[in-house]
Amino acid sequence: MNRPFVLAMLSTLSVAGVAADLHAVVRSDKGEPVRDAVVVAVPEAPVAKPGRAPKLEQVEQIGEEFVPKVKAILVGSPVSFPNRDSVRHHVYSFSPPKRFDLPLYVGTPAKPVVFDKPGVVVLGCNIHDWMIGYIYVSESPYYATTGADGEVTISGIPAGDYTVRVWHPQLADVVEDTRRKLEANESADMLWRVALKPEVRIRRAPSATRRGPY
Amino acid sequence: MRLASLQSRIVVFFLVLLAVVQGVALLLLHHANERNARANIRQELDVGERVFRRLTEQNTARLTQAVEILSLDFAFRQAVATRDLATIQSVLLNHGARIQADKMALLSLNRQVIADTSDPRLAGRAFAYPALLEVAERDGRASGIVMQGGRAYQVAVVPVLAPTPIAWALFGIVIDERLARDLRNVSALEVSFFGRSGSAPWAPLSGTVSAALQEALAGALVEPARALLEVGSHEALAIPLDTYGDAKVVAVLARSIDEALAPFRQLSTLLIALVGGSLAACVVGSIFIARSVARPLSALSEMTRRIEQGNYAEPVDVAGPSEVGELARRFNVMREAIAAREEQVRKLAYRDPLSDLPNRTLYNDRLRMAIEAAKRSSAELTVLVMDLDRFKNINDTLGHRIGDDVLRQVASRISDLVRKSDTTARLGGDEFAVLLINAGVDEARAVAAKIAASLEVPITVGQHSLDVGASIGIAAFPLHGEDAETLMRRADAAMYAAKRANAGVAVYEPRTHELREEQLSLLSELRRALDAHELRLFFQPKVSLGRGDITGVEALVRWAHPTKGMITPERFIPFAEQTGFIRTISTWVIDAAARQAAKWRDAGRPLKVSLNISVHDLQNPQLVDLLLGALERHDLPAALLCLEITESGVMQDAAHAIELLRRLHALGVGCAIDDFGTGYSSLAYIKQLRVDELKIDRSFIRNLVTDAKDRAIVLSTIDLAHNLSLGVVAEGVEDQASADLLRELGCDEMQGYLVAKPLEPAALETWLATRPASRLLSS
Repeated sequence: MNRPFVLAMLSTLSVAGVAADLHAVVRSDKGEPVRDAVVVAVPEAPVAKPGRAPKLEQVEQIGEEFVPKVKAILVGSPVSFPNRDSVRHHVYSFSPPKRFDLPLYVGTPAKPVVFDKPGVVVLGCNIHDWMIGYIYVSESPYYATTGADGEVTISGIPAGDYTVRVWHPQLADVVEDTRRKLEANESADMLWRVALKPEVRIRRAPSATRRGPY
Repeated sequence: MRLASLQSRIVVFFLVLLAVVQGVALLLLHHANERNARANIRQELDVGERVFRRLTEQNTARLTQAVEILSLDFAFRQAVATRDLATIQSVLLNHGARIQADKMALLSLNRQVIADTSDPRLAGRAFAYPALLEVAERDGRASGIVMQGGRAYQVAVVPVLAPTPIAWALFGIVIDERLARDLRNVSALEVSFFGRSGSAPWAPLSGTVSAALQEALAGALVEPARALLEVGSHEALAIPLDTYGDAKVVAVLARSIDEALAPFRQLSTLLIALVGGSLAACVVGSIFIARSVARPLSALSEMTRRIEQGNYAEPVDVAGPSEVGELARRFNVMREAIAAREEQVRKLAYRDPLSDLPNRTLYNDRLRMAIEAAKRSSAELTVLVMDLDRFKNINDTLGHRIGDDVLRQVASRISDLVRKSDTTARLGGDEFAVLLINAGVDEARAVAAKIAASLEVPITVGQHSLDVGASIGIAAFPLHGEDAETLMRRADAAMYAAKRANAGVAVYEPRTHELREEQLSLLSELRRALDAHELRLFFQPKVSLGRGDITGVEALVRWAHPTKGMITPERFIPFAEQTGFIRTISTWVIDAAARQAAKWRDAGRPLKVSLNISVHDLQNPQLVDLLLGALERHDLPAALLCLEITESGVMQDAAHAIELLRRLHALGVGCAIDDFGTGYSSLAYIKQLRVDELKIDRSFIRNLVTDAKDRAIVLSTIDLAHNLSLGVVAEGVEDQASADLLRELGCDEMQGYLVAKPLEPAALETWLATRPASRLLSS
């Protein structure tokens, strides 16, 4: 069993201020950087002054793909799904945290969808079966998504005890939560090695929009 | 029989040949067919396997496509996402119905059955074929065979994507007759499916084959591996199917060997029919051909049998092949040639070519037959035999061509005077015969008279008008004889009598003609004797009474008869003279004497040979020519021959005799008057006869010693001769006293038994050599 191997490293560096930073590195079990991994630090005790409040987020559809593919948002945030393609899309989700569908539209639907429950919402398009997108609805305001280098830093985390979670759409197994006490001004480095499944995706259909600008 | 066997041999040969060739061909064909059929079956099974796999792939594709469509159905995904079981069920059924799927199921990602249309009880239980889902997880889809509730299903499973997998959708169809039928429709193969769990026996699932075959196939299956099986009359291919779970499913494609062989068998049947037909045709054909050969041969053989029996009439009618036809034509030509030649031979044998009348043979045949017929019907018949009176003269003086013409005219005159039913024949020479059927003596006499009268009319040949005349003898059956030979002989005798009497026609009279008959038979023997060299010349020496030396020999003809011994001329010369045969004998005698004289001359012992010339010879105009011919032939001087002519002969035609003797004398041939003293010769004539000597007849010598009168006659004859300057020879001197007396009387020569009896040349030579020179003189 390829257990996730979590290594927490305490930094000896003291940073001025009350908040701490969390630098997360996610690697595949082969050592490759894992992109689109969502890292969330969930405070164990209510935090007096949250770092951020829900705001309008957006997941675009460009070239018959969701962009970004993985979007982490704070619970309660409304998300708009602007359609940048010339074809219509029918975005839907059957995920328990938020079930919705936005039947055939062009442009940006008037009404954003409010994600009011934490959890992973898988996005699909009823027109284009291969389109998959994920919205990670975080209960904690301290989250980030890794870039192509597989790394991300969450800044401004108040000191305290946290449960740190990593999620990725292709995780072979659920990654165990990591408990972490973040000191003030601490810049904590955390590294995850995760096993990924191959992506199950329906093959793209040849796209009219990709045919080139004739 | 042999021909029939030729026919059957031809038939049997061709039959056997054809049967063997066709039998071998059939056998080879049968093997080739069997092999082909099996190869075909293998090939069909291979093709069938590919078709089968393709069909299952198509089914899989159909299932997969259907289940994929289902899995992408928005409402369905919604229902799945919301675990709306009722909707799920109805969507499954709805989609399943579209492709007539038998089993539609929804499985959770954790491999539990959410819904299953084939068995609702399965809901909530673990999915029985996790391996199928493992493949689906790996490949995004999976298909295969599963066994459930004793039925095999072909299934396809795909994830329900929303858009990530939220469940598995599964469609399945029962593997049953439909699939088998589909396969049967495109491959002529029987398909059946067998399944088993673990190591249980194979159980038939479905198929297009009979239960019995299914059972047999189940029994033949061992491992779920691809294998060729031969079950009963079927060849089968077992194809293991991708099965999930502990059950195994095998598809078995089977091909009936009989069915595969059916077209070949049909061909075989056709060929056997063809063989049978051709054999029958061969029988008929070769019988026909054989007959066309054998039948004409039989016909030809039959014809040769007919020809053998002398039946040439029927030609052989043969229309065979050209060779046989040609043979038949040749046969016909040969038959006709043989017939023509036989006709010719028959004609030659039975016809006289000169007159075209029947010849003696045919005449005798008819006579014998007529006698037989007359005996049966107690009828009469008569034979006429005729001889032309003056034909020899015509022939001799005018030649044979005119003679032949005369004979032809005589033949036609006779033929004109008799009925068609009577037979006129030319017996030979100038001799003719007529056979009168149912005619008595009187009728025969009338016919004979008519013939004689018609022949009295002169016959004209060219410028010659010839007077032949005929003498006809008549003999009647049964009055004068009861067989052909007797009748002919007696008619002959009558004919001679007629001739002698110059009567024209004479009927046989037994008393008058009996002797003559014997002579006639003698005559025919004499003819034969000449040919058989039975006539010989004996020589009796003449000696001089004065000196005792040999003055010459008299040639005497003897007949060395094979049964009667030596016959003296007195017994056959007279009637030879009467019948004219003497001429033939004389010709022979002259030639034989000349030859012998020449021989002696050549041997250095010349002897003068005297010959007796008959009256007939004297009348023969060719006599001088005959003599000259003989002298010339044997290169003999005339002086060595001497002709002795009887005194009576001379007196018959004295003028002729005088003339002849004159001519002979002129030639240098010596002449003597024989039997002098018996012929009442006129001294007037004698003085004119140019002869050399007189021979005193033995009748005067026999009693010379005792009879004074004889002595006087002899003495006066000697005186007469001497006075005419002729020599005198005494004949028949048998004792020394007579010899002595004759010498006293002045006789010149003598001959007789005292000197020597007539001797054959060899004996004479011996006698001459041993003779004491002066025996006769020393008395």
